[in-house]
Amino acid sequence: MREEAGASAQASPIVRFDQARRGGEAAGRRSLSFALPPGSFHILTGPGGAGKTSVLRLICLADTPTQGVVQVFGRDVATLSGKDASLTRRRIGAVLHPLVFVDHFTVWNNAALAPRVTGRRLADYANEVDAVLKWMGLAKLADALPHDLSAGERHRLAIARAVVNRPEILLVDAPDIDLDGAEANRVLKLVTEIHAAGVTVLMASRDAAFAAAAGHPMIQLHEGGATLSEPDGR
Amino acid sequence: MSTRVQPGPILRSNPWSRLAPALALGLLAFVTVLVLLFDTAGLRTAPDVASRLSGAATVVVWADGLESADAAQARAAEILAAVPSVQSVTPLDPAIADQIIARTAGAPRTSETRLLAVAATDGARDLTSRLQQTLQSRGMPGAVIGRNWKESKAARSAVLIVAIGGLVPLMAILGFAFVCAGEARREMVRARAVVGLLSTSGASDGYIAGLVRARIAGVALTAALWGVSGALVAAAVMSRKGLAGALGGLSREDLASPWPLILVVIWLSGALAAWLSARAWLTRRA
Repeated sequence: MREEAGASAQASPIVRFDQARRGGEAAGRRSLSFALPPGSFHILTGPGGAGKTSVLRLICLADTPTQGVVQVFGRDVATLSGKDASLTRRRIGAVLHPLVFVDHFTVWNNAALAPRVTGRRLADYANEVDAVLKWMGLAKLADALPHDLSAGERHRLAIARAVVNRPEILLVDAPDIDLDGAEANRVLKLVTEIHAAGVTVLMASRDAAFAAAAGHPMIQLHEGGATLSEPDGR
Repeated sequence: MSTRVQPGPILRSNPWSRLAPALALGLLAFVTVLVLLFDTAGLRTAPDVASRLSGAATVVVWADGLESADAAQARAAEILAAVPSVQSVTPLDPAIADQIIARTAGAPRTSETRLLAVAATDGARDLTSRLQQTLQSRGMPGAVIGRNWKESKAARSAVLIVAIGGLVPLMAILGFAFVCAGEARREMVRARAVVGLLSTSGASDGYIAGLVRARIAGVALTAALWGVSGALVAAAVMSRKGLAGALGGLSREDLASPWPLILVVIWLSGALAAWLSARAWLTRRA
């Protein structure tokens, strides 16, 4: 089944793109319209340069659209004040490429970054960080530094950092880009578990096979815009 | 559990990358404190300059050979009293302002000096030159400062000292603000990736700017303390060598003068400029 992504949106989507675009058409970007209902899991696919990362950056308020409207949690991101923008970002977990860590912080402290910078007390979030690192299989590496980790471990650390503040939506950029199949599937499994906990997920991937294997609705970016395709048999 | 210990600052960069701004701030603090120290000594002296130059003419005499300064002052009083149109000659008790007057009038740096105030009849012509010639003709070492003291070198020096007292802190505030704002911008560019990470993690712009401010303020404080230490040592050496003589020399009161408070204001202005610069960078980026 194929249909325009925007047409499938339910009421009160958690994210809505309405003819939104970042950058000019000359850069190969078309305006996009789609919506993500709460609790959904979508895979964002398309060739390299199609704008997958740009979409994620628009949703996590790292960028603002140059055209159209992007709504997150029902609010136009272009009209948010600085304070509202930071409050909105606290409801979003983002794993963006390239993965960035505070290099002189341990794994534990990198995972604890979001609660720390949002003003939570150490005593209030320490157990949550321990639990998330255990969940991600990084508990034994808590005292290691990021540059001592493998690519897969770094990806899982980035996810741990993104979810430790219990976001309502998780954005994951290309877990397949620098991971082998087993690690990418492990990341996918973890993200699926996070989704099962009620978190809306949008995961970008350029690997069509990986995206199809995930078994979730796909938003395919192409020259004409965005098209939603449901997984086979659904 | 060691992993739970709050780590150090989030933003950390190679100390060598901060060497240039640290040197600039340290040098600025050094010059500011040194000038303020001597200016404080000058300010102690300067206000009295006007009152010491209130006569129709003021004569500076100094010890020479076997003649002491007091003896020279007494002899000069007798000599000058005989000059036509002079009504009275009043030997002035030594005061701290005498040094700045004497030095700017040309008295030898190493000699002890005394002042005399000369009163003359109205309309006395060429009084200054006649007094000077009389002293010379009697072999009396001395210098004469005319009535129009506002145009004298001593008075101009006094005005300059007062002006420097106001201008130097202002220039230091601007200098610190300029350097710290520039360094904050560079810090934001250097740490662009981590700043982006903090932002997407939900940190407010104020929080991120606060991190940058803390880093820059730390550098500024360290540099300022080095500058102050250097200035104190330099001031002590210069005072010991008599280079502050014309200003009355440095005293303990000068060392306890308001310059530490001024330096705190200068440092705070740098920290504020860093914070504002970081906020502006974040706003532009958005």
